[in-house]
Amino acid sequence: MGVILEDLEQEVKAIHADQNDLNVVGKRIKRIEALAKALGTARYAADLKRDDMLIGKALFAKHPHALIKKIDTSRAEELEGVIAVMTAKDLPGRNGYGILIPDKPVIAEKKVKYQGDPVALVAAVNEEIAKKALDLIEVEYAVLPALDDPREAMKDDAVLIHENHPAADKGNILTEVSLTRGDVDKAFAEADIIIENLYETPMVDHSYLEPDVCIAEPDPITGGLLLIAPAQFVHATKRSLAPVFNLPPNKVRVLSPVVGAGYGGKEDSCLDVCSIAGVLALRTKKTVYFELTREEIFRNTGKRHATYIKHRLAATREGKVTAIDVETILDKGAYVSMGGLREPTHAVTQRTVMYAGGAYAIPNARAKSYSVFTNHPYSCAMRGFGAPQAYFAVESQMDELARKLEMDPIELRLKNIVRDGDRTIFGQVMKKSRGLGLEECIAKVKERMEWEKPLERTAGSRKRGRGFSTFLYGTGVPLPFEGASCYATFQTDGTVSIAVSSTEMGQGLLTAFTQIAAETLGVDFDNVVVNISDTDASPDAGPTVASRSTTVVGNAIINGCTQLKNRIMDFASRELKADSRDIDIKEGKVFIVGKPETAVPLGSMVAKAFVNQVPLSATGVWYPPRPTFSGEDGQGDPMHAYAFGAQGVEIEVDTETGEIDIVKFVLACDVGKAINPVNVEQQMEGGAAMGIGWSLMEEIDMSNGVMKNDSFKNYPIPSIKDVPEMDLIIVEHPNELGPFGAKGIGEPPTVPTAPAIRNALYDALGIKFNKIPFTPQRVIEEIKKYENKNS
Amino acid sequence: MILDNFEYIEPETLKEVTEVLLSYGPEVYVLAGGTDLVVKMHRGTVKPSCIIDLKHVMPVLRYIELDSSQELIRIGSLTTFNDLVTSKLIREKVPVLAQAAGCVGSRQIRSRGTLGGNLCSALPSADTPPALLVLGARAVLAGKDGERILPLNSFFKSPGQTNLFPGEVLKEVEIPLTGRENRGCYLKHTKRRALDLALVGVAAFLEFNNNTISECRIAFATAAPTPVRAYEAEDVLRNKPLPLEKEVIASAVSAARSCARPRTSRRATAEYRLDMIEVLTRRALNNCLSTDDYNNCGGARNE
Repeated sequence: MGVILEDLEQEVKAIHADQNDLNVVGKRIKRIEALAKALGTARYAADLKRDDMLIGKALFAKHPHALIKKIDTSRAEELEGVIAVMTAKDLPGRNGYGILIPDKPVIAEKKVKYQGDPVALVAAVNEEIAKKALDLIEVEYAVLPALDDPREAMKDDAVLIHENHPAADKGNILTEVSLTRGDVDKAFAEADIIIENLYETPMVDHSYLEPDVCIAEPDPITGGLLLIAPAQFVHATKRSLAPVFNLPPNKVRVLSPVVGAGYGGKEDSCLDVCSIAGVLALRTKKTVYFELTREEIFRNTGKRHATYIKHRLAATREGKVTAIDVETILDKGAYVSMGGLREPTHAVTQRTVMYAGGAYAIPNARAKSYSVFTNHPYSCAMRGFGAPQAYFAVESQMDELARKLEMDPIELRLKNIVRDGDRTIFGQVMKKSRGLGLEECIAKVKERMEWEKPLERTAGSRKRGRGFSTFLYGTGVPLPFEGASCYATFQTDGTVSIAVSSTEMGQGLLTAFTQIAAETLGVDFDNVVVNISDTDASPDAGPTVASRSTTVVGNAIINGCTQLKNRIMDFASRELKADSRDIDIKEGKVFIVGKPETAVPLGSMVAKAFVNQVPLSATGVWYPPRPTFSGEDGQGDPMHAYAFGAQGVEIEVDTETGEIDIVKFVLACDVGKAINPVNVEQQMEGGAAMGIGWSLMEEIDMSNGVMKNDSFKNYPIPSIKDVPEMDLIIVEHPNELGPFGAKGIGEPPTVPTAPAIRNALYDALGIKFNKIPFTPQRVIEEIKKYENKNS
Repeated sequence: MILDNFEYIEPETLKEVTEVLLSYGPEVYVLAGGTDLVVKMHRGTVKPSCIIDLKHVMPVLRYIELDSSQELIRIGSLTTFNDLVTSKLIREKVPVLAQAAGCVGSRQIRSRGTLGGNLCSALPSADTPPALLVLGARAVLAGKDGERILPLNSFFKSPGQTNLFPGEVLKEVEIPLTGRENRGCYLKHTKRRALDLALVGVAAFLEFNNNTISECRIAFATAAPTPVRAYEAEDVLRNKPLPLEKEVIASAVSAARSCARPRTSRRATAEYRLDMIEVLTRRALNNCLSTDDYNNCGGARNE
């Protein structure tokens, strides 16, 4: 391994040789918004509430699956202080919305399909009256059996949740995505070893701290609406909801101040709150404030898809994986959300297929995923977007294979990982030129884990074990519109404004964008201001999801800034009487290269340019190579670049209580280029902490469509004491198409944690844990089962 | 957060509190730290018509003192968890109580929440009751006819219910000190390591005299509808000579299991809780018998 590392060091040095002259990018710069957030002065959407706003409230379904027989709102309407009561018949436009397809009603009319369906809305002068009014609304239901298990719901005789769903394939099956590559049956017939297991992963909540709120304000001049809400995709919010309001999209403005985390959830939940606040505001012609309670956030908003995965893997005696055959059933919940339709928007369902073979060059593959409606909250995007589920299965399978072959699990992975020129199971060629740092990640984790040293397995009731996992994860969305636009503007003093519709939700995008703009233009970091998330102030940058913003939007910013820079250099060449190709801008000065005495402050050059008819604004755009992916055979080039990573954990299990202590946690991610290493480390820590919560404690408990743990009291997420100190390694193999070489980092760190812990558990106890989470009780139950079987 | 309307009273004296309690019906609630009550009101599971806020009484009921006889520690009922955790007197004389108080909720909750609130909420999962039970603590209650003393093992009636008479208020908690060598330990088992309710909690207390266990008390959280003592397990160890045989501890542990009547909830099954009561009882007893530093309570997720 030492030799490999040395070779890698050489390679890395060569890779970074041309990046040494960066002034802002790559520096550990403090978050722009950190101080205001720490002081509590940063203003989130809820902080913009004013006393003169009406308060909106919604009456949500009493039963998760039922027909609405009758609604009587008369008593609520008579209550003093109630300004409006609305049912489905009072809506101004289309009674449906959704990012992919408008299948979720603003107000349920004939049927409720989960606990979060609104049946009536109220606007009142204060919250107390609004709540009272809800109590006065009488709804008569005819209760239907609720479906909890997608494996049951997909059967032919199951009760139909959607009578006429616009996109459903068959019965309760929303969609089916398939992947085929090579000759799978032949490979299995010829295999030396076949590993077959069932895996289950739970539905979990995003647990963002900022609640979902919306302030909806009618615009008296245009007749349109302003919606202020935490959102992850302001332009799509506008597009999806304009028909709901019966307004053209240019009369709907969506604005998202700093967001208190989203993790994928606020792509959809903002539609939930904006639709309700918006129709109430149009109805009352007043500004309406609408906020979901924490319990409503738990019950109503999107969740991570629960999955049931049957994974078969074939290999040779030498440890070469020859084929996989995987079937995944996803709990879709009640509505499509980001669950996926037919090509090309198969979203989460597609990722479970795409990542079914992990980071390995496997020649034969068959993967089928079914997304099935249930009476659960709609499953949506959540950090990793289907990948954590797929990797839990495949990385567990790799561990089982290593065990069966009595081969070191890292050695086994090195035999199978994708290398330059290899194809993934979805047929994409992995290219060194787009950054391929997987092997370096593996080598570094192995070294820091001291993997070669035999593990000290403590005696007594505490048992130690080690686990390992790897991943590859695409940057961006594989949708035909993938790309981003922004505005870049020079103020006449040489300071810079960037307008971009992305969201700052704690990931540090404001800081990274500022660094990218400052570096490109050669100005000080402090002289750039990035304005975010306002549909009227900036063009569509696409969603703030899919680990795409730094890369895709970052490139658009470089494009916009480069246009401005070229104009100024062109103008300066006339002023300084030199060829524009000899002009450069650095540290706020314009100069002829090699002649520092010619330096002019950028501000005065820009001011001069302004009065000489040089336009100071530009639209920056960037599109990746057009994504492809066929829903028929699952082949294509869905993303232009991939992040890679490896993780090792060492755990100590208390075999009497079932508690798991993570004693060593090493995570390496190849991010192409860390625009801001502090941000990257924070993303790694946060993502891994989320992975720990998913692995050890989080699980939404649904029974007959009713959520049993809809509060933080009953839904534990990791506390600071549950998260170990992490050894984080940033690996940088530049992506030739990324800004300064960057690839995505937002979601990847969530991917490898669960299988790494699972594999460590197996190592410690010799017991397979194929179902997440590994709660202390479940660990004890499995130990008892194992002991009973072996006694 | 908007709460339903309620009457709000802030009495100046303990006497006033009992008068108000008597003149209002059962829908009157006493507000101490609010860490239980306000949460329930927010959730809508409790809808008080009247709230008696004890904030003006707090200064007189927030104290930890050693009685002049040196045989009693008195703790005012509005003493906060953090007061207990940081009190030199508690840490020196009855550290098991500091341990229990230190694993309640989070720092913020420990700064607001009070000992009296923890007892009067009478939740089976509360952390300080098992510690106080093994210390043989007594509740001093103030009512319209004066004060009375109730041993803590007669204090709890059912989940959320105490044996206080109408109009009575918990004034203070008395902990008797015998002066003999002793050691206590509280272990709490949770799903996560902070800010979580006890899946089970076990407090153990041993007193030593002439190389014999002169007194043994064991008590549980979340093992029955109320905080409870495990009398049969205590009997196994009382008056046993030191050092204890492993078998003796084992039989005390299995007696402890028989004393517990936990229920299955979505947080944990009864079976698992029983298993954990065994493990925690053994560990707590071993800790009481060891001479290790108090901070080394193996397996406990205590602060």
